[in-house]
Amino acid sequence: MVGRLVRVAARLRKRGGGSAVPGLVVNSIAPGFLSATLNGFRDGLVIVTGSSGKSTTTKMLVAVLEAHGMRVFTNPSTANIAQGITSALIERVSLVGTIDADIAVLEMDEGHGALIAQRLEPTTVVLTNVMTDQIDRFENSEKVLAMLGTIASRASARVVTNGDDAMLEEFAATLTSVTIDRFGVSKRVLAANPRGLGYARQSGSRIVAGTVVAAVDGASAVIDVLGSSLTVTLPSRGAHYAVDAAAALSASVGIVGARFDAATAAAAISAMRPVFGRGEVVEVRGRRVEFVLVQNPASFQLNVDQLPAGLDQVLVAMGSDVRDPSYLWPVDLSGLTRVTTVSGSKAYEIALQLEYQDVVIDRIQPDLGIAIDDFLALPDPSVGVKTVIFSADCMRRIRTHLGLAQ
Amino acid sequence: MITVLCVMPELLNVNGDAENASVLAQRARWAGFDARVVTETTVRPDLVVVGSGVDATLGQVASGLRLMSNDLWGWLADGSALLAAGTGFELLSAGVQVSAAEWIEGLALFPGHAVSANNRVSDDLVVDTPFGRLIGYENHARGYSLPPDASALGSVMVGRGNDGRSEGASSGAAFGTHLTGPVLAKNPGFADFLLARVLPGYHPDADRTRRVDHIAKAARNQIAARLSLRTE
Repeated sequence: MVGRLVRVAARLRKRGGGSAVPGLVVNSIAPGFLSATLNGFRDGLVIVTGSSGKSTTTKMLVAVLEAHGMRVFTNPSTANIAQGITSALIERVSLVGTIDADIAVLEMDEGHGALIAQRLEPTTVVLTNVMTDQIDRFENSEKVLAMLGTIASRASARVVTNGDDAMLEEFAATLTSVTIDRFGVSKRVLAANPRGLGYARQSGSRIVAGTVVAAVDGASAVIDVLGSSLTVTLPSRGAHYAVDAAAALSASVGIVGARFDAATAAAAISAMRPVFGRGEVVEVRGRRVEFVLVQNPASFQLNVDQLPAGLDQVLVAMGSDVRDPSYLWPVDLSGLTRVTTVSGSKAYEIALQLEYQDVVIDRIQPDLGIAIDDFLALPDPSVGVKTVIFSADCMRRIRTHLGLAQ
Repeated sequence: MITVLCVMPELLNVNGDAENASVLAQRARWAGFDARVVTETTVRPDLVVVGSGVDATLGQVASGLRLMSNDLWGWLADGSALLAAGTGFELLSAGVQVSAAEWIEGLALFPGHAVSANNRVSDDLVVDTPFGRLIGYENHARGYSLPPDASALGSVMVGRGNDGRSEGASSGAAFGTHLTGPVLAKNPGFADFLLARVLPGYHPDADRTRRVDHIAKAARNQIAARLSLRTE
């Protein structure tokens, strides 16, 4: 009840922007609310965590579970901290305090997740990967692994883990009292991605049992699960999305159990729409634009490698969320060839990288509003669509500037 | 043809420090020289770049560097220049005091050694050096003990460096620093100092160099302004 009132107040105060506020208030008034509710779902609590792919994997898993008739509570990806989860819970809780869901599937940031993990009793934990991510926050991959381990060690039934990630494999070997389900890619898929899949360390061999991405062709993938080969349409191009699908399928096999239906699962994933910043082509001011979100060096490389060759209208924007852009330098951006505009508060830093990697820069305009206005005003490109590559901070600013929903 | 040796980039590039090798090669090319970056070599390279890795691989990197010890000493004696950053710098010192119980022997190419510190620093580092003010970033959990008679790279203006006062070490044409990432791109004066040492006739006056260095200056000035330092 307190939460409901606070939520209404937050909405009145700031339209569309108050998502973490009511949770913050409830967590101060009733500190046990979050864990008590999350631990109380009939079919348990599932936590999806890891450096990259959490959001897509969570959405895919929710889609598959719902397709099997389960009522799922999940958190919006923009609010994956304790307050955000609480706020999302308050959205769903009835006046008598019950929630119309059988199971909770939560995406959790490894840093915040490790902090609240001791109070949670997840049945299943899904580990996507360990990448060198936000390096000045998490310092290094060893520390990321320790945080993931803190979360995964809470799992009571099952840990679903990436068998191609050597650090996760070493961690999984230390787990004794839970079932370990693995997902991974085939030799063929790995060979088609000569730079690897972006993990801090790649396993030396491919998994022998589990859910395997057998082949990827653009936004289409063949995934072997429980002896059947499923053809799945991915929400965007690239092997990393196929791995997210394999993670979601592997987790849903364990959760749904004997009722799991492969065709139903494949159809649910294939029906998913691309997400803003992850492959969705949006019409803005009469122009078709693809927005590409960069979260760490690995996703930067994978996403740039997936872009069509010879794009002639590209805007690259790096914001203050990338504290020191140096760690992006190992990413080979030479495939871009030409960038129309470089923008954001770290425009000069990323421009230096582009210059040293022989990418031609037409213009540097640190002011993001001016840069995006001028970029959209250009006539349509001759190759592909207008493409905006940005960090999370620049994504938020551009969405606000263009009046797109957050 | 100049050759830049980039040492173990698969382990020593967590902050993009190994990319200093590409920066040196590109600047040489822009000035009209042929240049290549190699990760192993049997002939003496003109320049050697050693980047920074995670602590979990300190032992592995130390073993790798020990195998190169005779070569590195010989190349430096014969006129090569070297830049080492972060853990690469630490392992080329006398050694690394990882904890009270753990000491990893280094190559002693630089005077002094790395000492354990209570906290990690991950922030801006600005250093006053003979080749100008260097602006960059440090990300390390140790300090550095430099003997009183040894040469530092420069003195700390902002940040921790070795101990809050001196930063890095130098020995002949070898330079070690906590400035991680592609510090030579943001501070091309340092890059040109290294290139001029090994490349007679090197003059960074091409159009391309001027354009890129203008961007580097804007990047430095942005940080300087944020830190309330004078801009260039």
